[in-house]
Amino acid sequence: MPQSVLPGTLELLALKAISFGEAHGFAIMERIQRGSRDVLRVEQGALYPALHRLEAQGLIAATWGTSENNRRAKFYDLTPAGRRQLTAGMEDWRELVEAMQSLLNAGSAELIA
Amino acid sequence: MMRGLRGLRGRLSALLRRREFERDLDDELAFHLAQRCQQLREQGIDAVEANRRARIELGMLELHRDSVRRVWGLSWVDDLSRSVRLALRSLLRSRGFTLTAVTVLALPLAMGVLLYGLFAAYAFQMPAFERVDRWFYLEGRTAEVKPVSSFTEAEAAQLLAEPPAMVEGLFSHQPINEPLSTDQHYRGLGESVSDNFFRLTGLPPVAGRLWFGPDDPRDRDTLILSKRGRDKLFGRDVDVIGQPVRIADRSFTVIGVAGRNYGGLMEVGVLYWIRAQDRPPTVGGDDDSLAVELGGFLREGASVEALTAALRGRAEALSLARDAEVQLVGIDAVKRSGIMREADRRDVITAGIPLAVLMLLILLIAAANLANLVLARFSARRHDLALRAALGASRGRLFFEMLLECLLLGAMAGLAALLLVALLLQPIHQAVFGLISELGLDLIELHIGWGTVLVAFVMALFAAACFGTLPAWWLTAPFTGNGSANPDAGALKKSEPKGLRGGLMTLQLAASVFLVVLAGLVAANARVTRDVQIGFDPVPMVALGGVVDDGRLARELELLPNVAGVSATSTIPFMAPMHVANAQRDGHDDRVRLRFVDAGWWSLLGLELQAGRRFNRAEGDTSPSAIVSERAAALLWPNESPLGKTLRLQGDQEDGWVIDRQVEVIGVVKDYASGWLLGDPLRAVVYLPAPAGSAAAPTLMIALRDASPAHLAKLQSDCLNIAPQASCQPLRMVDALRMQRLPLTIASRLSASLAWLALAISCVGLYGLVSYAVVKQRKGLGVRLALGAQAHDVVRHVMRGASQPVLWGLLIGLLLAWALSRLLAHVTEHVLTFSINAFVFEPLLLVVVALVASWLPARRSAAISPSECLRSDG
Repeated sequence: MPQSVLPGTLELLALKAISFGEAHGFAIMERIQRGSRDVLRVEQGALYPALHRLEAQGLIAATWGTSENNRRAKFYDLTPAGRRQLTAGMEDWRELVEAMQSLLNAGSAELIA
Repeated sequence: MMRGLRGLRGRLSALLRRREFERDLDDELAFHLAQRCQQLREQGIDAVEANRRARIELGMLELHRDSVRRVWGLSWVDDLSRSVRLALRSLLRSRGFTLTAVTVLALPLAMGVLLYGLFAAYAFQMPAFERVDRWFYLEGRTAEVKPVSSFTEAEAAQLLAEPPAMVEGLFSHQPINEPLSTDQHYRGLGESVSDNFFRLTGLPPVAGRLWFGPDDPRDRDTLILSKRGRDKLFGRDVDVIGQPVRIADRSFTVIGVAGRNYGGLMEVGVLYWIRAQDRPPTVGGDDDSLAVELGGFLREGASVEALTAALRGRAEALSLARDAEVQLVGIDAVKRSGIMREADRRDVITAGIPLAVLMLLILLIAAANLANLVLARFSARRHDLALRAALGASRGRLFFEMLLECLLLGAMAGLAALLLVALLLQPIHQAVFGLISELGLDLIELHIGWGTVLVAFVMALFAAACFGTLPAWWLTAPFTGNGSANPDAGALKKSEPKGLRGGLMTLQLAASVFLVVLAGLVAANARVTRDVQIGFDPVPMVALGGVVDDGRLARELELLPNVAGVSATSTIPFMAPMHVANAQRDGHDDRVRLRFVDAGWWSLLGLELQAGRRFNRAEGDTSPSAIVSERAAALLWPNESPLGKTLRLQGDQEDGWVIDRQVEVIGVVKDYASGWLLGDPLRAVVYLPAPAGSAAAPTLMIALRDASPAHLAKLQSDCLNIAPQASCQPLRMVDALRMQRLPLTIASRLSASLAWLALAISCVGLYGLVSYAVVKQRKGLGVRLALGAQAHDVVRHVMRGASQPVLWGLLIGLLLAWALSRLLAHVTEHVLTFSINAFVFEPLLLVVVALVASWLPARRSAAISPSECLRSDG
């Protein structure tokens, strides 16, 4: 069952999708969906403000080029700052997931002690 | 840091290349749609359905566009431009209001900008030197820490010969104010400069050449003209190279014309330059006079502080040849920021402060007036405001929109003011300084610079913010808090700013009364100088200053056919104050003015003595004889004959002039004016004898049979022929009188126009206020009329309300003006500080005009129909 992207995580997902190589918005959306085995569903309208936000923050850089079907398209690529941000974001996310898992797997003895 | 910069660059790029930004955004979203369509079609969906689904999935494009615009900070620009368009539309709908508001603000703004433009043109003019940012001048410092900026020729030569290592060179310059002649005589300023001047300043020639220097024999007795000099002396199209020009008794050859419109280092235009070594020795003072100014350019990286330190030792060496009272303790290098020196600029600014205060006062009146107009305009929108607040508009938003409308009015007024200034700048410049050009000096060309434009808009927006803030704040007060604000009728009623309107009206009327009284006082002083009985006929009289030649020039001039008589005196009448001395007799001590005159003075002026005798030619400048004016006689010996009385005159002036002499009164002459005309022109004067051409009487007064310009030029020419070394610049007494009267005449006209402008603005405001009051009280007045009140009772009721701010304004304005006049009386004795016109008649006239302005709309209240009023629900 497809799920909406968790609030506040779209930028991190976009950075990760772009880290595999420069891509236009549609490809980024597809990479996120494919990468999540079609579990995560990206709100298409939210994607572009997120990409522009990352561009305005200097985390990704945009260039205009030609797509595989010969159309004019805007391609995004990670900047060094974006790469650092991705690493830090992934680290934070892992810590969060581990904390969530630890909490969700905890038995009553651990929680009440 | 880099990320921040990149983000800023992106935002700027989006803002500046908006069309491209929007096109890219459209393309990006269109590409997304096309990709999704193609994907769906590959899944077997037909084109129309694929397109429909892709659009539904992507959602509302305009919302996405807005989100992206917000990311790049473009939404506030869109908001602002939308608000500006709305405000403009609203202003255009009320053309009458807009025109009134723009006119009320543009007129005082134009006056302020005009005065600033004139000031800036003279105070901040910069020569077109290369390296002007490294330009400095040298200022000698004496033991009394009183800066003396100039040097003797010998000192200048010493410093020029060995400039300090940290400068690229030093140059000297010294003004020349001598008549010059080609085939006819001209008046105009020139400068003698060191022969490295043009090389150092980097000024190129537009014709001919500049000096080869240093001391090149080919440069001897050559002259370089300014463009203005070329046009004035020879005409624009004449080949001037090789033309002769005569200055004093020396002939020069024109070798070039300086470029870049360079007009010298004086506030008025300079016509020519000669080398310092070619300066005729008879021109402008002796070798020891401290008249040479030194300037130069610092080397890259050098500072004026380091240069000052480096010059410390040189000051001691130069001091050896100086008199004790002007011994140098140091030489300061001072960065030069314009042709006008900082000290002079400070003086001009100090002198201009009262004018600036008056201008601010006028702006305040205009702002108060506009605040009232705007209050009335915005008050009419209170229900709209309440509705918008209820729909979610914040107080800040409503406040901003009102203020924006006022700022737009301010910007329009600024533009209108600049247009007015562009039209009036040259004519007013000519009118104000016209006398200077009549005297042969050349006015600089004036342009409206960017600084002036900036000042116009800053003043306009400042005034707009002043008149917009208060009404907007007041009227949005009920809509505080978030969008849920829903003011009740009570809150709306509370925002009815009746008291505020009355207060603003009182303020502007008080300021108007103050200005009217001030203008009346200035006019009274101007009248004194205009109406004073000089005591002699100034029309045929001309004066020649600086003649110390044992009387030779006076004797020779007397023989000329057009000369009716020649006499001598200490200073040119009306152009300088007379010396002051203490007159001591019988234990009493009084201040009197002194004037040295020769034996022919009284007959030249056509004045008969009231008693006693005139000086005779045998009485020299140390003779113990004195003649007193009637005023002096009454002061020193009231109710007694002064003849034969003795008194001791002691005077010690700031300029170094000293007298200590016992004199006996031999005659009494009626009062006549010959010093400053301001305040009391007929002062107590004691006349002492001095022969023509002596140091005590170096001014020749000449009565001409015909004082027309042609005969004046002939007199100048004859004077130069008789004494080539003399400063032959005849000054007509009528011109001297005009110069005395001019500042006050200008001040009088200026203050009168400011005062009447203030009054006009106030009356427009009062008219508007009363009109508004009549509209607002329409129902109440209708009830009164329905209950039996007569029409004149209703008008009287409205007038009672209108007269309150008028009377308060009159009282406050008069009190302020009275306080200022007392302060002036305390500070100086030279001006009149009371005039019945200024304090009584003119304020009364203002009150009458103001009451008429309120009566005109008040009359309308009598025409109200009671039944209509009662039927309406307004």
